Amino acid sequence: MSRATFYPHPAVRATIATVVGAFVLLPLAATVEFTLRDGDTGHSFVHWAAIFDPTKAEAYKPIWVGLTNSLTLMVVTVAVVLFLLAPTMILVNLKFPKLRRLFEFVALLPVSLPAIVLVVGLTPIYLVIGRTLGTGAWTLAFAYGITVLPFAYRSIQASIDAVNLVTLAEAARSLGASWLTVIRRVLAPNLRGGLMAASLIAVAVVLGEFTIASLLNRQNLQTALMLVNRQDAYVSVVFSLMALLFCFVLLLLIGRTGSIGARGKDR
Amino acid sequence: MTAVLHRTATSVALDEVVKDFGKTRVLHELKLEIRAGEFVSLLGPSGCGKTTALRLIAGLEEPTAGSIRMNGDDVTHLPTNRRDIGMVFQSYSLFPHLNALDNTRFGLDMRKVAKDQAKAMALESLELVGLGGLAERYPHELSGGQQQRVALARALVTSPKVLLLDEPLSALDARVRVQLREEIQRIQKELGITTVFVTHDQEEALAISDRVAVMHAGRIEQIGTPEELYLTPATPEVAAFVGMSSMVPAIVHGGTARIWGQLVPVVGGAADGEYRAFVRPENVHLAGPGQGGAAAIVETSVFLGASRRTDARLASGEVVSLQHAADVRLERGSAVRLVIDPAPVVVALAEG
Repeated sequence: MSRATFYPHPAVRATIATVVGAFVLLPLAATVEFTLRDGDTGHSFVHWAAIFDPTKAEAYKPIWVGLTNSLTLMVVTVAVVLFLLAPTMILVNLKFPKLRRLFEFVALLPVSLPAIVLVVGLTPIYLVIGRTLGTGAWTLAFAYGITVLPFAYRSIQASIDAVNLVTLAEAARSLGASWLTVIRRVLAPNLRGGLMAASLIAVAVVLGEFTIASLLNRQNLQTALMLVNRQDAYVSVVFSLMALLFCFVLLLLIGRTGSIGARGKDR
Repeated sequence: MTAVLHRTATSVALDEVVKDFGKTRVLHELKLEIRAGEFVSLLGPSGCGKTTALRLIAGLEEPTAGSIRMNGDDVTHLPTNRRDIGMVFQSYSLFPHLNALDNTRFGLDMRKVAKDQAKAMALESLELVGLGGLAERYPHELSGGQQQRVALARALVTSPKVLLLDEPLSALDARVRVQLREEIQRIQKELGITTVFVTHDQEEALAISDRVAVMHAGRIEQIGTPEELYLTPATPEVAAFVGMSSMVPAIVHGGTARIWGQLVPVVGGAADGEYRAFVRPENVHLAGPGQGGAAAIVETSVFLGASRRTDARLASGEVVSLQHAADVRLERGSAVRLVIDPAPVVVALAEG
C-alpha cells in the first residue's frame, strides 16, 4: 500500500527553515550580544570573566548554590523517573494491564495543573517533609517528579508500545531469568530510547523550574538567577546562556547514544 | 555430536487442572499425561484452551485448581524461571538488542555457564538449527523463519526438561512452515526431548506428533496417535477438526448406519435415529455401472496432481467431497452417482 509522499518545494522548505530558525536564533543572538556589551558602545568578555572575579564572588554566590542545588535535583529527579516510574510502568504493563488507563490518567494529570495550584497543595506536604527529611533543596525532587510525570510517562510508554514487552519478558523468564534480570538485561536495553528521552525531559524541567522552588522557599538555579539579576543583569544572562548550552549538549549526547542503541532497529 | 547435553527425558502430567480467567472457565479438569521423550500436540480451534494449557506447563499461568508434575515432582507453583523449560513463542520473541549468538546463549548465561563454554554451546545449537553462519546477525536482519530457528536454538541450548512450542510456525509462509516443522521433528527425535506443541493446524499436528490431543471448549476430546484420531475419531468435534470430511444424512439402526442405501459401521455405536455422518473424501467413490448409489451434481473438480478432488451436491442439498483418480475428468453440472466405503463413520445427532 505505497502512497506518493508529499514533499514541499525546496524553496518552501528553505523559507520555513529560515523563519523558524530566525525565531529561535535571533533572541539567542541578542542575548549573547547583551552579555558582550562593555560600556555604551564597545563589546568585550568582561561580564563573562566577572564570573570568576574573586571580588564579586560574594554577590554571585547564590548562583553557585542554586546551580549545585539544581544539579542535585536533576540527579534525584532522574532517579525518580528511572527507578520508580519506569519499573512501575513495566509492572503495570506486564501484570496489571487493566490498570493502564487509570495509571495513564493519573500520570497525565499534572500537566493540567498550573504550578501555582500545585504549590498550594504542596505547601502543607512540604511542612511535613521539612520536619522529617529537612529543608534541603533536594527534597524538591519529589515535587519535580510529579511535574515531569506526564512527559516522562508519554516517552516511556511510547517505547513500551514499540516492543512486545510481554513476550520478551516471558521468553527471558522461560530461559531462567529472575524478574530483576528481566528488567535489567532485557527490558531496559529495549526501552532505552524512551528512558533517555524521559531523563532528558526531567533534566530540562528541573533546570528551568522557578515557581515551585520560589514559592516553597528553596533555592535553585532559576531563583538564584532572579536574585542576582537585581544586582547584575549581565551575569544572570550569562548563566542562563550556559544552562541553555548545557541542555543543548545533553540533548546532543542523548541523541548520539540513543541512535547508537537504535542501530539494531533501523530497517 | 551436539553440545546440547543429553539428559534423561522428563515426563509431564497435568492432573485435574482447572483454569479460570475471571468468571470464565477456560480449562475443565484437564488430564494429560505426556511420556518422557514424547512429542505431543495440543490441537484445536482458537479459544479451545490449548495455549493456556501450554502456559500452565511453562508456569506463565497458575492453575485455579489441580496439579502439574514433571517426572513426578509437583511443579504447580514453581516459578517459570526455575522450571527448566525451553519455549518458542508464536510471535517473534528474540531480544532485539542482542545478536543471534547472544540471544542463544542467554539461558546459559542465566545458568552461569563459563563464557567460552557458553559461546561454544550456543554456536553448536545454532548449527543444529542450520544457522551456524548467521551468529552475528541481529533479529531484524533475519527472516521470520530464521528468527524462529534462533528461538528454537535458544530454547534447546540449555537442554531443558521440556520443550514447549506455542504455534511457532503460524507466522511463517507455507513452504518455510513445512520445512521447519520437519526440522523440529528431526531435532526432537535426535535429542529425545519431551515436547509439547500447540497448533490449530491439523495437518501440522498429524505430520509431526507421536500423539495428538484434540481440544474443544477447554476439554480434551480425544488423545491418540494421528492414525487413531483420523480413523476412529471419538467425537463429532474430533471428526470435524481432524482431516477433511463431509456431513451426509444417515439413519442408524442397530449400530449400523444406512447412508445412500448402503450399510456402514458406526464408531462407538449410537442409539437408533436420524444422524449426520462424517465421511472422508477418500471413502467416497464414483459408482460403477449398475452399482446404484446416490445421485449428485458436480459443483467443482480440482486437480491436485496425484489425484483429483470433486465436490458434488446431493439431491438432499449436502455437498460431498470425494477423491478420485486424476485422469477422471468431471465437468461442472454433470450428473454422477456416489457410493461409500464400508469404513466406520462417526455420527452426530441431526439438528433441526
